[in-house]
Amino acid sequence: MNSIKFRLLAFGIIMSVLPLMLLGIYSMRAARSDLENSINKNHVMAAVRVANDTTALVQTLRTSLETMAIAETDRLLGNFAPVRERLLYAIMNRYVYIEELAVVNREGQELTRVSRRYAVGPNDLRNVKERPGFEEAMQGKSYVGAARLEPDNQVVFTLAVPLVGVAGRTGQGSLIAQVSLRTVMERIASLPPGGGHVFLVDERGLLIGHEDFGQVVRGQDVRKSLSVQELMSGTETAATPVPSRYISYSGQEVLGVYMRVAGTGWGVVIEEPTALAYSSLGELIIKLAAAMVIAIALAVAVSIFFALIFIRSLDALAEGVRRVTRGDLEYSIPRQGDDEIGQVVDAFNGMTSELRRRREMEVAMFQAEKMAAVGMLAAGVAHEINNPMNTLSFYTTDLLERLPAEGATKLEEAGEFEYYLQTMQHQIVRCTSITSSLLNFARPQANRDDCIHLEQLLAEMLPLIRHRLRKQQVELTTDFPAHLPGVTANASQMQQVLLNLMTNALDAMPQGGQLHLSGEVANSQGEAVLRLRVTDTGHGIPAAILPQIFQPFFTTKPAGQGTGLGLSICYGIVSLLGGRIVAENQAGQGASIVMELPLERSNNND
Amino acid sequence: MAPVYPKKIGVLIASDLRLQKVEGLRAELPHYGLLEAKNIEIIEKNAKDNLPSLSQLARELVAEDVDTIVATGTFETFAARDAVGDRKIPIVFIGVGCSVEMGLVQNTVNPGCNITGVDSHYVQLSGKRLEYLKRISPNIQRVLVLYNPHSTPIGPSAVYLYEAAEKLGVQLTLKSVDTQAQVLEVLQTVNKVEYGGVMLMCSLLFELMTEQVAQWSVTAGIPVMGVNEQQTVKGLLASYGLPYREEGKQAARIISNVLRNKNAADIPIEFPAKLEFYLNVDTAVKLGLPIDRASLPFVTHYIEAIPRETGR
Repeated sequence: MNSIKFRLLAFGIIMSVLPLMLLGIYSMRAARSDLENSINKNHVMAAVRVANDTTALVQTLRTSLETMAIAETDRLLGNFAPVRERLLYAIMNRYVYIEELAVVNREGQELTRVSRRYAVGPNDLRNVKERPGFEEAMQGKSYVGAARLEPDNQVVFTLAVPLVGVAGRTGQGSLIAQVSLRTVMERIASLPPGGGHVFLVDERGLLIGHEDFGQVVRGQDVRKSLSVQELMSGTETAATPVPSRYISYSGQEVLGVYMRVAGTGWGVVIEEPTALAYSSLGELIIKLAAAMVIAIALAVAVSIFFALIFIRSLDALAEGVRRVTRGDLEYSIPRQGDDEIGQVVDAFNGMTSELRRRREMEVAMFQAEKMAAVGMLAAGVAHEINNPMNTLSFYTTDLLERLPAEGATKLEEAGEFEYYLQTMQHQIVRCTSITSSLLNFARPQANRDDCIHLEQLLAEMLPLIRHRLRKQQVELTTDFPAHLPGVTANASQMQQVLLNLMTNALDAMPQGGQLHLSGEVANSQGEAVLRLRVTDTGHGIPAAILPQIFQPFFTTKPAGQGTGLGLSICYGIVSLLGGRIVAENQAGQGASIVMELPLERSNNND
Repeated sequence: MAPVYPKKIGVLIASDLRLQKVEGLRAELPHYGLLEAKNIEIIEKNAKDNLPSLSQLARELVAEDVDTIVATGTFETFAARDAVGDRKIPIVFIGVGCSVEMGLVQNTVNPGCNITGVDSHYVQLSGKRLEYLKRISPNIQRVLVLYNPHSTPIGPSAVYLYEAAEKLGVQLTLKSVDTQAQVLEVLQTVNKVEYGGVMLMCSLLFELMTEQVAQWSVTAGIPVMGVNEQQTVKGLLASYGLPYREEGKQAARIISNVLRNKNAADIPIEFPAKLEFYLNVDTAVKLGLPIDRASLPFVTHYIEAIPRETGR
């Protein structure tokens, strides 16, 4: 998951999806807000309209009755009943929502009453002194009473106006009407269907009008609605209705608004369940979500497409790095075009090519230095070979001299012949071993790393320097624990390193001394390494030149006795293997070269 | 999105006499957002006075899978109820009196079944109509009331009639008739000395023979009070009630609620909102009744062959 591939893909997808999601969420919120505002606006308009209609109904009727009461007081309170009847019927016919109309004298006695639905006889006239409206009218005030439900399912309210005459004298009597709210109900019911519920409540919060009139006649309690409670409390301050969201009497969350009917204690309430109000939004959200999903899918597909193109180039580059890291300098990354990655690939291939060239130069240099070492070893090797060759010569000469004198049969029977041949064979094997070591050393290095065991490699190298050891009277001692782990290295290079270190030590001990080689597994910076220490008892390394001894062409030997590349090549080889090599002075008692090499991988795993 | 199919409104009509109810209905439905060819389809089935065919027509409406059936009268409502059976298609009646007494609904507040509608209120208005008859013809002492027991039970109406008669000092005679022949037979026995007026209760039977009754009224010199404006237009002296067209308009609101999936069982029966008094001036003249318009402020419409000058 840490791969740049996944990060790149994740980035592409997130950057594609996130803005679209944010845009979608913003759009949905904006749509919801706009819809809510629009609904609230419609509700406010409807509430204002119904409230105004109701106000107009009440005000118009009140004004008309008041006008009639002023103009016709004398005739209404006069003794001629047919005239009263005609006047009352004339008013009732004009205002279709008056169900009943009566003239009442100062004692509260009805003088005449007319009804739209029922026959009224003389015995039906009653005293209404104790009924609502009479007292107020006698005090000169018009009265709008509470709405109530009649047995015939009509909601009516009492409207009483004082009979004051043109002189404005109060206390003469009153005109009392029972007015139907059906007109208001019809107005409510004919509002454009928008899903909201419109209803009318009186000052006690009782339902007196509803588009579902069944709720009115069943006495539905609507006082749990916030709008109704605020109407009852009379706390509203705004001139225009303020929409709000609350839980209605029906238990549903609603967008609600209310408005008081001027001149009465009544209020118009409009509520629309939010579930219904936002139902159209749900459809919009589904469409928007579908569009977003499609857009996101396209964006993701495009992101993946371009990411894969980019990643394919990176994969090729990563493969090249892996191959070159493993030492395959022949590998060349296929060209990726002219873009930035293509330029990186070209640079990488150029770098690989340069590394290959340098490698070839290093190999050549190693080989040259090795040939130089071979030259230096030649005398010693010749001496080393000379001894077995002298032995061979002696036994051959002796055998040739005794063969004619003693005869082959006698020599054979005495076992002499076999002894001579075995000795000669032994010397030949010795010579072969020496020359093999030299040939192995001088052979150009193979470009291959193997698991190398240093003590075994040292044993192969010994024939090449044994003569120098004897000649310089240097005692060689080794200390390699059994089962010392191997290291991954090129055998030829490691031979060169060992030979350089030992010959340098021998060079430091012309008068004899001790050369000690030891190996151990040690911990270096938290990692297990194979540490090889080559210690001599020579003249040591002056402190002043200690930092320079691994530099190329640095030598303290006389001209013609060294190339100055020995330790530098050792340094290069060890560094290539991921190890390190340092020189330590033994304070006048000689010097030590310490080399640390990473253990062969299988050893680490163990 | 699924297509929205128009709601089907089936209208069951017994006679062309009811067509004004349908006209009122059609005129008012758009006020409730119900538009023909857009979201509603109105299917009319008219029996053309052939009452026995109403059952078959009602079944045809049910077969058409209508969303509601509008019944324009009592006979239509019974036919629709029988045809609907257990399918519970809402039935909205227009102008049916005594819906509770006839067992159509449980009560007027909560009908409790698939039937609701606009009550004609003829029962409750019986007393008021008697009062108006007395006002037009103040000398009336005795009134003959004819009713068809198959249309409207007389019991509830009788309560209002006798109460009003007592208040007005009028004597009543109630006679049951259920055929046109019976009506004519009864009327032949009525004379001006015995009866000062005749009142017809609500029934298609009387509506179908209005012209004959009007002719008898003029011949006999006895005023006849009807129940709807069409009877007055055709020659009866007067009528008081909700005009058919207004009944149809009032029913539109109930149909709107029904089509908005409100349960008919919870929709209260409505009563007439707009009561109108029709007076046929020509008939009054023929009957020798003086018509002083100033003394008749309750009259909303005067029917006369030549409308008088208003003198404005």
